[in-house]
Amino acid sequence: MTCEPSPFLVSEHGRLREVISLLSKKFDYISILGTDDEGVSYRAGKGETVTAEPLLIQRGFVARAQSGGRIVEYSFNEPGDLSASALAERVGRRLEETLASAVGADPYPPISDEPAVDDFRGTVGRDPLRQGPDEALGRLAACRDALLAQADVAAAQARFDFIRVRRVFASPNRDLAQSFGWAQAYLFGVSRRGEACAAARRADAGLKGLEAIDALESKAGELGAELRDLLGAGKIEPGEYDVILNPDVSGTLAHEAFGHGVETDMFVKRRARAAEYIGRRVASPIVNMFDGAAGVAQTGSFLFDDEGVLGAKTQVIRDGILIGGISDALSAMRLGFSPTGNGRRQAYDRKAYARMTNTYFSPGSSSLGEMLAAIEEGWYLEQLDSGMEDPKNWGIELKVRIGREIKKGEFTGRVASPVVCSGYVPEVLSSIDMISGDLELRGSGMCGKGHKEYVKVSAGGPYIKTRMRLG
Amino acid sequence: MTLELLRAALGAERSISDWKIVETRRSGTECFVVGTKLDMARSVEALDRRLTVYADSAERGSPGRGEATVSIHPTMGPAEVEVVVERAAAAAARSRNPWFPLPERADWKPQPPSRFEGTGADAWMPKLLDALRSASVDGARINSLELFLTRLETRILNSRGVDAFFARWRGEVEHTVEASGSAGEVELTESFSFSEPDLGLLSEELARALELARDRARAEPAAPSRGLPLILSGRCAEDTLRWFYDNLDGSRLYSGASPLALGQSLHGPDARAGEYDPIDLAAEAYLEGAAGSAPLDADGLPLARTVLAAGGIAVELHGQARYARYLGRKPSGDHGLFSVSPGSQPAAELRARPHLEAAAFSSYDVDADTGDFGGEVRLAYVFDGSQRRPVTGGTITGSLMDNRARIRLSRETALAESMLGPTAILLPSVSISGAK
Repeated sequence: MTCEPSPFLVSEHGRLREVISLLSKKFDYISILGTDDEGVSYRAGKGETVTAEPLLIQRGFVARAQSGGRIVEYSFNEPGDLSASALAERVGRRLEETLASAVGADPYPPISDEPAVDDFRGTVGRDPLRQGPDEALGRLAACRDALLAQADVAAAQARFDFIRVRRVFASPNRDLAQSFGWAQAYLFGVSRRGEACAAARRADAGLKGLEAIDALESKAGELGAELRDLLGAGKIEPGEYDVILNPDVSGTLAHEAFGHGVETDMFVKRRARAAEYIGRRVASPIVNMFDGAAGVAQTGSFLFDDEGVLGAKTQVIRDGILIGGISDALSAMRLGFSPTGNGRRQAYDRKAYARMTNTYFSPGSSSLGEMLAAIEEGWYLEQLDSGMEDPKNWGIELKVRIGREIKKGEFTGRVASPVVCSGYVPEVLSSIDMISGDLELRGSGMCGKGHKEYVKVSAGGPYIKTRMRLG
Repeated sequence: MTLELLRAALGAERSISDWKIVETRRSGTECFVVGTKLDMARSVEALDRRLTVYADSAERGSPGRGEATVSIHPTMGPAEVEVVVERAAAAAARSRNPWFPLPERADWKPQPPSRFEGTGADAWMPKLLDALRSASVDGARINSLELFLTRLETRILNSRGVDAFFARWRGEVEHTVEASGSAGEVELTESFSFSEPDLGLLSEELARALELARDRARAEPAAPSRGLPLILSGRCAEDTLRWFYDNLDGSRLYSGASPLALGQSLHGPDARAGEYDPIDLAAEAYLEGAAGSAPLDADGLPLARTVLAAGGIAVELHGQARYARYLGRKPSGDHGLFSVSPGSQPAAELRARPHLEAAAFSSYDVDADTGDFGGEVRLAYVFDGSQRRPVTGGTITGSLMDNRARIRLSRETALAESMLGPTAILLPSVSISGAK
């Protein structure tokens, strides 16, 4: 089913073009991003079902202006029914007031405004906003009940979120529109036996609709068994081990290690050591890594970013050599780089930063079986909880829910939880000696910048064998 | 779409039994600084309006209530609102949860107005920036910072007569500080919020961060250590004690996710008197300087300080009124703040024995379900009984289920982010891996 554009944004198109035309006489550069993201969230918890909206639902505008090199923005969502000239007067006045508060700001080179006109409409299978709540609530309640029926399960929740992203971008030379949808579905469980407690989940996400729930429906038994395993889990003796990272974990390694580390607004702040390593070896020669809204279809995919730059596919690491970064428009200008379509906002009322989209290692030539056979003593790591970057000092931290012990090429049945994996990024990436031929991208997570600014991304790749510190 | 038109649309939808509207008008300004220079300025004016509709049902004599929440954007016209309200009403009718009442109109006590009030956010920004930039520590500097100041006007209405309005201010700073040492430059990134123009406190917060960066620059790689207790302070102490607060939330008790229960000890069945400092916990409506203060919750229920645990025993729950109702308790509301009473020893006494004190993690997490906590250490201090040395690297892991029977709290308390509580806590049983 095609995702149709927002009737609201379509109705505002003429007024926006006129406002841009009027304000382009006042400022050296002017653009307006309009957003109208709608969606629905269904939740089935113990003894209740609830319908709400996911985070990130929004409708509003952000105007960006440049004058004398200084750049300011004004976010608003009450344009009212003013005429185009009255709205231009109001927006222009607020931008000028903001410019007045930015006296002494470091000037940027002129923002380029190369011509671009395009309109992208994505498709989803079954559109939740057209189907009504019965199917989703019923299926989620069934997933919840199936998990609650498992031994030792104390709490269960099934959740589904759908967002239809609808954006327009207008500048004197650009007229862009896009409309696409993504969905995510989760099944969470908590098990308890005496003082022992465990939690685990299953998830699916992608450029899809209600079909995201399909993947959960057969998972209750598997998740229940995993929760029982976790109730008996021990702790890892801290130390350095050979590890196999499943695609979920390897994708987050890519995301944290050289995703955040090559966001070029970090280069501008001198916060990324990667800036000094462009053209130098940072990983084993079998490692290739990409980020991009184009090239793969997952939750980080789009036609244009929140600064009106077309999405691209950027190779970050080629054969172990760091070759480039991912840029928002402003940091690219400061550095003399070409923007890569990575300028993203949490919402119309937040600043755009250099952000990841779909980040992944490309497949290799080994199999998971070969990797297991190559491990004398080590751990297989799955169920990622979180990761954290350290672009300046190249530390890496991944928290995973499950470690499965491997000895002499076989699983011993011993399970550890949780496992904190850490290391020095170039050492971890240089220690990669086997990469599987798989490529799985998972879009069930969000990415923050610093302590805020959440955007939807995907990450993934193949199974990877390397060496990390576990604790 | 005005509120009056929205109320008219709600009145026309017969399947709606009750409704609630939460409207927040935001007016803010933002500065982004790189090094010593302003990089960019932004301003925001927005109105957010969230509508929740409730639909009642009766099946086999048991009353039920479903709900659905939607955004009503200010640019929606009457026809669009009608469609959205119809869709929400249909979704609410499909959920048949146990019935619960909405709060009725009740007297509530306004909180002291912020001292930001009366002057626009634009005018405050230069003073706040100057205060942040005035922080100075030899050998460390500000790499970059982001400053946000927003005035929030909240109006809460429901079909049972609640119509309350209050204004708040929220300031936020995210800062990265850096320092140079023998191993090169290091950095630390943190954030904090505030609700009052306490310029001295802003400067002190930055100075504290600069001191940590300076110490990280001269820190040695952490060695593995066995048997050392862990001391946490500030936000990490809050995140740890928040586990007890979150697990006394009615929604977690109702769903079965919480390991805690009313009438039982927060410290577990094996806790022995004298081996721990009992956690006395309260939900708070107002803490001076805390951005999370609010006189009412999002349901329109007036908030007041509510004791949740006394002498280490859970005595009350908090959170959304519906879960209190489901669990047969009187609703106390959904507070954004909490407090923990002082422990038995001064922080200096907790620090007098050999320990490791973690001051900065790459990401410190406490799992709400399992109580597992930990993270990779960016800066910690090891005290061996005579000397205190900064160390970096390695990971700390532990579980509150293993530590709660012997947790110690400092006698001194202070406001962290959303908690007024001990400035330091001691956890005796953790695993500390080294950096190498």
